[in-house]
Amino acid sequence: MSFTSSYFLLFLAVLAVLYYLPLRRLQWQLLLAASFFYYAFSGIINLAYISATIVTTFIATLIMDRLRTAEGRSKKQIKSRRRAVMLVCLAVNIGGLAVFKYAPLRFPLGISFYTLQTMGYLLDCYRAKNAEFTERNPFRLALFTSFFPQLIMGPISRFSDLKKTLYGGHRFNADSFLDGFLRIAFGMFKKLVIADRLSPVMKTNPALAVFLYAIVLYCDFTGGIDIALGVAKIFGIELAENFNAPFFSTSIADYWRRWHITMGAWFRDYIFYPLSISKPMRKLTMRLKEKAGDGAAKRIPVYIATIVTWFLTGIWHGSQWNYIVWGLANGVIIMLSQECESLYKRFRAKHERLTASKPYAAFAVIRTFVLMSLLRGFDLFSYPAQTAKLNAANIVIVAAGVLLLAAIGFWRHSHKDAKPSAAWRITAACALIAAVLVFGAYGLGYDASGFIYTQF
Amino acid sequence: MKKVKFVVIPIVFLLLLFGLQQLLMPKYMDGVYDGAMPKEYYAEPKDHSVIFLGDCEVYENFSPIALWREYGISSYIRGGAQQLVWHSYYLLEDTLRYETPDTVVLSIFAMQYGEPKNEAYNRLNLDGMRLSLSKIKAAKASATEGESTLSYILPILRFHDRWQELNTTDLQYYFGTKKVGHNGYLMKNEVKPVDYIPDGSKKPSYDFSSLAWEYLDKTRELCEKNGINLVLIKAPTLWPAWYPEYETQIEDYAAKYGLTYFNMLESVEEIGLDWNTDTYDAGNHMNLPGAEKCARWIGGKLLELSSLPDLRDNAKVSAIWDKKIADYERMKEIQLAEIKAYGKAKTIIY
Repeated sequence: MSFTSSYFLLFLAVLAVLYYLPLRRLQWQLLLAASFFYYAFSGIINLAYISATIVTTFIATLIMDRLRTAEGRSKKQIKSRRRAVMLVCLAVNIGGLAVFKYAPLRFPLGISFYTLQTMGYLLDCYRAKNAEFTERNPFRLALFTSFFPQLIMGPISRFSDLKKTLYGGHRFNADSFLDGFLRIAFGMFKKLVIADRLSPVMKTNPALAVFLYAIVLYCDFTGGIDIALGVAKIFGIELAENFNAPFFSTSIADYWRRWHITMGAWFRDYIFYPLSISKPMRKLTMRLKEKAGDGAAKRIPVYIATIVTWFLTGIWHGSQWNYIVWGLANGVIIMLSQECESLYKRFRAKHERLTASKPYAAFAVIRTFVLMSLLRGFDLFSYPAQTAKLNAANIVIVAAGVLLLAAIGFWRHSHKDAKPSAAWRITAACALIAAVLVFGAYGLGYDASGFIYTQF
Repeated sequence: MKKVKFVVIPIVFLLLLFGLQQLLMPKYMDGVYDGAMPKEYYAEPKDHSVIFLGDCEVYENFSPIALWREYGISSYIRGGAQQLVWHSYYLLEDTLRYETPDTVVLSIFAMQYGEPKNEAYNRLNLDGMRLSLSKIKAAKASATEGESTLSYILPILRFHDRWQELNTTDLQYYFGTKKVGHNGYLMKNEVKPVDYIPDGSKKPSYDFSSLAWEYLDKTRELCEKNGINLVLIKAPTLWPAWYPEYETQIEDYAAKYGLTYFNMLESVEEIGLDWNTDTYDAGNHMNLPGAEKCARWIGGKLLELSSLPDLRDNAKVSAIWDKKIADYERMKEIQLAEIKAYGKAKTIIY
């Protein structure tokens, strides 16, 4: 049941009515039932996989919790036992994900996302200072894992954030509902008017392919996330933002702070930081300090952690070599730019006026866009060749759509906290729906294409 | 004020959307005129004694005007291009929302089509239907791969892409289309004699599908329930082939349920058809003289089966039919003049 299908919209409408009217006292239970119902459309067997993740995580976190107060054991013993439980649960779930990534099995929809999210919760429970963090109701944990708007392509939420709004008690709020509705309409516009129209022709012209793919991927992924956030908002639930104007980035590192933010944060918090301060790394730092000096001791462990993190990021995206190369290339470029930071600083100091100017900022933005587009060539590479072409009318629609997105992007950039009036938002939502209905690439004659990020 | 905006803006939006949908819908006023006929029924007075159902075997082969002139029978053809048996059934269901005719004449030519065939023909038959449960069920029963039932309720979902092909016809007929049918009859006045009858190709099976039988049963039961006399016909067209195996199955069915079945191919002489003058496309369809002959013949047969009222004495009804006859005669003259001048009739709509 794709986010852009009429069945999904019907499902959403029925659910919203039930959520705010007869089942207002059972909101989170209703969302759990709806999430399982929604996920069952991707294959009944997938319910077994997600249930396995929920059950193993629930049991592991409960055991870790009980071990805190285990009598007759030293702190060290408790710590090592808790770690063993955490590692077994991690191994089972990450192993399961790896099996599906590498074995010729049908890939369960959303497994990459819900596994990361649930393993994040497991690690948070492991690190938590007290037992209160652990969720003791398996069904509430099940909802955290399976909440349908974020289930198949994120954002990857943290339990401590999501639990604030996930478990109900929401009264209908017209303003919040309107925000959600507008966000869904905007997501549909990006996906159906731009991404799905451009997607069948993006590889036709090799010279433009990487740039067109950048637009397609942006509209496809941010469109899906907009719908996810909008749907959650309709139910009064706040999901984490996953993008922050990524095409305004001035460097690759900046880009990764703005693109797929929740995934970047996950790898940063659960891979990069723990690895950087792990015992072997600390030992390495000491050794390097003695033998190669402070500079190397500061940099090399960070670079190792960077490379490992990006290697895993690549693998998470796909099991093929091109994803691994893509991940490593990102890591190498970030490392190189860190290495060159002193040069940049000197350049900026010497040419203060130039580097503070708007044209230079534009240059930095374009340079990053081009570089990121070229890096995505590793990803685009795996797409089949295309020969279809867009006629002039369709080119105009795509160009107008992209210009509209750019204009909205600029407006948001310069009016960060501004919120348009309700009348404006209703008008905007209506206009977007009309644009989607008329100019959307859907129905007979179009291949209904799924969201690109649901395959990861 | 805020609440007013919450209501007013979406209402304005829905009205605009409806207007946009109207613009994007095909008007069937240039080229494919058949698609404009299904909706014409709703503007008619609902006093028909006979309703014809079927594909071009009825809407090009029978003239209701001739039936009126000859017998005073008020009839209407709810036909459509490549109308399949389930289309016919749901059109009958729809008709019964407005009137209950004495007799339904059903063309059984479509029994050979065992499953939904082509989206374009579904559209030609169903787009003109008023929104009702029958229409939704018809769309569901007819859907080919990739078709959505919802797009029959909200046609913008299907025709949204026509923004690329809008032309002056879409603007010209935005507020309403002109008439095409003469009580559902599509007039053709050209003459093309039969010079060759193509043999029917061999088929792997001649058995009608269970789906076709199911809907024929449903049609029969609906007629029985409403006290309607159901008459099955095979129109006297020479091709595509009507195989003996088909004929046997229909004869057996009619015998089993006590239905009247006319294979008009067996009565060509009695009807008075001349294959040199009564067809416009070498035997596939009748032209106007052929359609009038067929109407007169079937009218006689229907009167033998039941006492259909002669409404010519009813001044109110007669006045309506006089207007129809005037339109019919005018169109006939225009077409004949065009044929004389250009070899082909250009005017269909009026």
